[in-house]
This record gives sequence, C-alpha cells and structure tokens, in this order.
Amino acid sequence: MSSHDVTITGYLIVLAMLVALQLIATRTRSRIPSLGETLSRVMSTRTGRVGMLVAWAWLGLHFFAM
Amino acid sequence: MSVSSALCRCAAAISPALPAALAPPFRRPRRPRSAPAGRGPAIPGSGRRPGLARRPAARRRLALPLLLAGGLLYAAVAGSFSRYSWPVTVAVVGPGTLAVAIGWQGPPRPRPVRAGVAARRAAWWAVPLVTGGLWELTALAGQPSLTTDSPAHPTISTLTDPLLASHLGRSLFLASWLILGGWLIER
Repeated sequence: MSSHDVTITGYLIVLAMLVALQLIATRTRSRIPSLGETLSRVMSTRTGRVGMLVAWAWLGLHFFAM
Repeated sequence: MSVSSALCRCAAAISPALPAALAPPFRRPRRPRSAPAGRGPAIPGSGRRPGLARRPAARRRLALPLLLAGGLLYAAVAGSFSRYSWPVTVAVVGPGTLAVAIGWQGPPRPRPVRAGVAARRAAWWAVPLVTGGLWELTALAGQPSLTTDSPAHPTISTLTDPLLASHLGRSLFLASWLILGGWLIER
C-alpha cells in the first residue's frame, strides 16, 4: 500500500466516521445530537454564527479566489 | 454607522428576496371579528389593513424559485471563469460577504436548540472533524513545499483539482457551496 493510498484511506475513514455519527444520531435513540443540531447550537451565539459563516466563505475563497 | 450595519443594509438592498424566503411561514394577523377582511381598521402600528397582509406569503412563494434560479445562474456563470482569476474572486467574495453580513444580524427566526444538546455531547462531532483536520495537516506537511502538491500525500485541495478543472465541476462545486451557505444561514 503506497503512501498515496494510506492518505486516501485516512480521508475515507474520517468521512465514514462523520456518516456513522450522523446515522447514530438520527436513526438510534442515542443522545448524540445530529450535525444539524450541533450546528444550531454552535450558531446560537453571534460569535459562533459569524465564525461558521466566515469558515464557509473561506472555503469558497480557498478553492477559487486569488 | 458601523461597518457591520452598513454591510447589513447593503445585503438587504442587494438581496431583498432572501430575508423573505428565509422568513418563517407567514401567519395572518388576527383581525377583530367585527371588521371584514380588507376593510377593517388598519393594524395598529403597521399602517396596513389586515386584508393586505396576505401579500408577503405570495411574495415568499415567488422568492424561493427565484432564489434557486438565481443560484443556478450564478453557479453556471461563476463556474465558467477559471480558478484564481479576478472574476471568480469577485463572484466568491460577494456571496461570502453577504452571508456574513446576514449572519451578523442573527438567525432569521428564533430556533430553539433541542433541550439536552449539551456541549459535551456535541463534542462527539469534534472527534472526526479534528482528526480530519490533523490528517489534512499531515498531508500538507508531506508536500515538498506549501505550494507544491505531492501525489504521495495529497491534500483535499489536491484531490479536488481534477474536479475543478472543468466548467461543470466548478459549477457543481459552487452550487453546493451556495446551498451549504444557505443552509447555514437558515440555522
């Protein structure tokens, strides 16, 4: 297994963890909040709200802007 | 006037349909039983008559398809520009600034956080997010330099380069980015 494959596998594991957490949160009686609920909590303050939107804006800037 | 309020006013001027589309379902105000619709006394403080209050609902029904069409048009046009050029920079900075200005004003409607969403349970989400961030940093550190990609240690940016090389790929990415921003503003 090359280092390229190891790196890709790492990303896939992280993605699988995110999907699994969301499924556990929404499909079971677990007390883990869903991603939407977590974001609602984070964005319930102005700091969190602006922080999340700045992070979103940065994503677009990172991939496209000069 | 502060910078933030100026930006918010600018946001409202640029996109009058957005607050309407994001507003809660309109509820017609209760009117006095004795007053017929449209002919009753003006709603105190509003300067309007009750019958005219239906218009915002119709306006909002129109606003959502208009926003979707505008978003698709934006993605198609902005995706036609090459990456890291001035036109696409303007196309990304515009919505980004608008979203932050709207977000500064607070949520579009009061959204109660589910009882029991404690910070320590929400912290479960930090595990994959921090792991992913560290993994990305590890790949970045494996590059020959910060600006030189490494096929052996690809970052997420490197992996998305082939996708963003085409007009369709850029448009799809920008449409998804816009949808994500709209979803975040709705939170």
